[in-house]
Amino acid sequence: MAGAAAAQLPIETVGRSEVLERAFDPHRVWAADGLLGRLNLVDLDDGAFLGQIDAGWGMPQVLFSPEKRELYVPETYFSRGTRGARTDVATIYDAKTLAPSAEVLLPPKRAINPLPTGNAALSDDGRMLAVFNMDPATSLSIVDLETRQLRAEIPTPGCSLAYAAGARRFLALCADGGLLTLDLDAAGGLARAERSAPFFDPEADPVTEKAVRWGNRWIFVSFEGQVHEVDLSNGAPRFEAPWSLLDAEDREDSWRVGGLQHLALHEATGRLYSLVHQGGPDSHKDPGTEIWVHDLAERRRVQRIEALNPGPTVMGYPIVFGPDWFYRFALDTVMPRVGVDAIAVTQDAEPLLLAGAKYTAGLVVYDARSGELLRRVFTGGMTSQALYTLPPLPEAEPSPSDRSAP
Amino acid sequence: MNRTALATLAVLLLAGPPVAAEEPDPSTPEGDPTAAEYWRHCSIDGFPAAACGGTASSCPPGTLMSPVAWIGTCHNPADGRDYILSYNDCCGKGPCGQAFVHRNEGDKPVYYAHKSNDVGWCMGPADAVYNSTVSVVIGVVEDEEAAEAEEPAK
Repeated sequence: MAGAAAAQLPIETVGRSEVLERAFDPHRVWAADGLLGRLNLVDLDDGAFLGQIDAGWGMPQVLFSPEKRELYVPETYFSRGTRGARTDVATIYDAKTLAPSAEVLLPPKRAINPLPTGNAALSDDGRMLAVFNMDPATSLSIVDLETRQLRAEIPTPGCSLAYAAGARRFLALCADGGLLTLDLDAAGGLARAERSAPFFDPEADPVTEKAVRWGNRWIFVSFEGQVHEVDLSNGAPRFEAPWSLLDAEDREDSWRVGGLQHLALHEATGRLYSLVHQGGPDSHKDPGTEIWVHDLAERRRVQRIEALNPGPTVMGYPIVFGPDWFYRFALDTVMPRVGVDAIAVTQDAEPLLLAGAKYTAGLVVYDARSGELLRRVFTGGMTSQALYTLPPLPEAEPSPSDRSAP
Repeated sequence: MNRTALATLAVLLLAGPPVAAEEPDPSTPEGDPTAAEYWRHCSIDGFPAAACGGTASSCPPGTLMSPVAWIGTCHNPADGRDYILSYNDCCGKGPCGQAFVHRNEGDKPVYYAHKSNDVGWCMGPADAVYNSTVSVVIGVVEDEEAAEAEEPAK
C-alpha cells in the first residue's frame, strides 16, 4: 500500500490556461485558414500545435510587434454570424497568452479578399496600424497602437492596399500602375500624399499584390514574371528597370509565376523564393510545382526546389499512414504532384522554407538554404492559404529574459 | 484576336436577345450552369450561384445580390460571340462550396477592382458573408470588322 501511495499523481489545479514560454520564435508559423477565419500557431521544428486566434470573417492577416509582445489582427464580425450588423475591429493580442488585450473599433468596411498581404500594414516605428477599406471606395483606417485609438480614415481614391515604407509612411498600389505614398503626421493624420507616375501596365502585365519587402525596397512581381523593385531609401519611390525571373528557355517551356502567396524572401541573404508552374495566360493563381530561388543582388536563379506534396488532411485531421519511409515514398513518388499555393521563409540564420496548399492543412518544411526536405507538419485548420513568419526586425530575436519568463 | 484586344473594341448593350443568339446544349459542361466549365463562368474564382440553388443570373434563395461587381468577357461556343459578364456576389449565407470554379480568365489584381475576382463584393445593402457568384450577361463584344461592317457609310 505504501508503494502505491508513493506513485500517486500530484493534485492539480482546475482553471489554468497555458501561457507560451516565448512570445515569438523564428521557427514558428501562423497559418491562415480563410474557411474557418482562423490563425493557427505551429512550431516548425517539432510540428507542435501551440495555439490559435479566431479572426472572424475573411482571410486573416496577422502583424507582429516583438517589442511590445503583441499581435495585431483586423477582424470582421456579423451579429447573426453570416449576416446582420457588421462590426470591424483591430484586435490586439498578447503574444504569450494569445488572449485579446484590447480592441479598436474600425469603420465597418475593411476589404475582404484572400490576399496574404496588403490588407493591413504596421508602420516601421510600430506605432500606426493601417487597415485597407473598400466599400467600394478605397481608404485606409489608421489606428494608434499606443493610445489604442482610431486616428484617421484617409481616402485613397484609385489606389488600394497598404505596404509599410518608413517610420510613418505607407504605400498603396494604384489602378493606373502607379504608387500612392502617404506620410502620416505625429498624430496619425495625413501629412502628405503623392502619386507616382505608372511603373507598370496594369492591363498588359499587372504586378501581383503579393509583394515582399527587402530592407528599403519592395519587390513586386508581374503575372509574366517581371520583377519591379521599388527603392525607398531616398524618400520618394525610385523604380528600377524591371528584370525577369524567367529566361527565354523558361518562357518557351511555359513557366509562369503563380499562387495565393507566391513570393517569399530571406532578408539577410537576399534570396527570393518564387512559386512557379507550367501554364498559360490567366494561370496567375494556379498552384506551383517548383520553388525557384533567385539571388536578388545578382538577379540570377541559383536553385530550383521541387514543390512536394504537403501531407493530406480531412477536416483538419492528418491522413498519415504506414512507417515514415512509406509515407514519404507514397507522397513523394506515388501521388501525383498537386502543387502548393503559399510559401514563406523564416528569417533566422538557419532558415526554413515552408509550403502549404489550399486543399490541406499540411505544410512541407525544407531547409531554405539547401532545399532539402526536413519534415511535414500540420496546422490543424481546413486549409493553408497564407503563412506568416516573424519578420526580419532587429528586435525580433527573443531576449534572454523573454526566454526565461513564464 | 485576343480577349484584351476584343475588350477594347466596341461594346453594345443588349436591348434584347439577338435573333441568332443561343447557349450551348445544357447536357454539356459548356451549357450546364451548375458546372465549373460553363462558358459564362470563365472569370470566376468561387462558387457559381446556379450550383448553389440559384441560376446563372439569380442568387440562391435567401441571399442578396451585391449591387457592385467585377466584369469579365467570356466566349459563348454556341454562337461564337464574346459576351460581357457581370459577376455579382450572392451574400448573407456561408460559402456554398459547390462546383468550385478556379478559371480566372481576364482576372486582374485587387487594385484593378472592376476586373478582380479576389475582391469580396458583398458590400453596401448586401454587406454580409460571401455565398456564391452569378454570371449575368450585360453586353456583347463586337469585333472590329463586324463593327465596321455595321457602321453606316459616311
